[in-house]
Amino acid sequence: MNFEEIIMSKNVTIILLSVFMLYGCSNVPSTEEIDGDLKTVETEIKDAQETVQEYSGGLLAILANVRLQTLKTTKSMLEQKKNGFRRYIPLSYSIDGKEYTPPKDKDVLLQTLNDDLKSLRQDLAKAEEESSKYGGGLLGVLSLTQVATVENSIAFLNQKRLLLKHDIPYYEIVPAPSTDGDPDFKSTPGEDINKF
Amino acid sequence: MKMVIKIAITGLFMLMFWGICSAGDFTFRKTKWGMTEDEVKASEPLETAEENERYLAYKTSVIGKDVFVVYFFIDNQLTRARYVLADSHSNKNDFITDYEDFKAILIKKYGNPVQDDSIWKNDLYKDDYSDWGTAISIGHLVYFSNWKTNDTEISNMLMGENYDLSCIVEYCSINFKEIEKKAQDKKALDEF
Repeated sequence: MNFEEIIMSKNVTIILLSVFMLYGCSNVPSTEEIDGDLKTVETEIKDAQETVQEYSGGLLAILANVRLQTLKTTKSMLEQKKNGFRRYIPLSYSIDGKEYTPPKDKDVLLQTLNDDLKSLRQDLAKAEEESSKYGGGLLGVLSLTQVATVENSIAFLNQKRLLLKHDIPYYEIVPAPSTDGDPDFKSTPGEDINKF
Repeated sequence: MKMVIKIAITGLFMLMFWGICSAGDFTFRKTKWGMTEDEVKASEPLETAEENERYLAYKTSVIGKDVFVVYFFIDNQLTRARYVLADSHSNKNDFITDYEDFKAILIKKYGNPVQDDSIWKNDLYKDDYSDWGTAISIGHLVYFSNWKTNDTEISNMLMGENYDLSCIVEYCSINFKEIEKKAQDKKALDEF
């Protein structure tokens, strides 16, 4: 091998290495799973928006808005996770100063949530069937309320499922400890007979 | 000189004896009639639940029951106090048990009541014991028992109205009764 050939082979090696490195850097991690879930959520958001537009006010409008906002929150959290993936920003969540780690029995929990969702979808089908029997009136409104309530339950549960699936912590609303200074019924020291 | 020392020591012992005897001489809980609101507050280790110039209220538990302790004042003098049962029961007959429990501890402390009775104002439910709680809640039946000490009248009551039951143990100062009456009359006049 003469000098020129050696130089050429070195150049080829450098070029090949550079191509490999550049290819490696441009390889965006797969967000296929999140994309699929986001698509489903977006379809549901469209459906919820149509329902919201149907009502100008009242209980049905409130229920529809609750569902819409729940779905929008789900979408935002999934998009945040997806963007983090795509831009190589490692996302970590801290709750009360401690880093969130997915539960060890995640698969079991996911299965339970899937079962619950399946059951709720059956309830929804029944409620929709019942609702279709009424053209209007009080019974019609009541049956529509039932449909909206089940739809909300599905939205809440699905949010929980998706966040668990993608290792995003689920924030539950827990009652805050009483801060109004309202004392409890506490016994005072001493024998009861001396308090009479 | 020895005489003076003897008198001083005797006086000191008498003062100590009087102090010991009067230390536990309370009328209701750690209070005495005529105490000011601040004095009553100082006597209670509990956190005030509600207060205004007429009364002070606390939440506590006695003989295993949740109760409100309410102290009533007239011109910043303690004249009356109460335990008001705060427990609730799905079976209204259980309030009769509460009443009997209060009566039992009062008998233990003050002896037999001077008056111990139940009055049927309406006999509708009289024949069915399971409905006596309901009868009390609508004012058909009233339970009461009274005790009297040198300076206090004590009443144990179970009564009701509009399906609400009240079980109350009330302590009322005998000496401040006149002041209470005058204050009530004045209030009634002011309302006209």
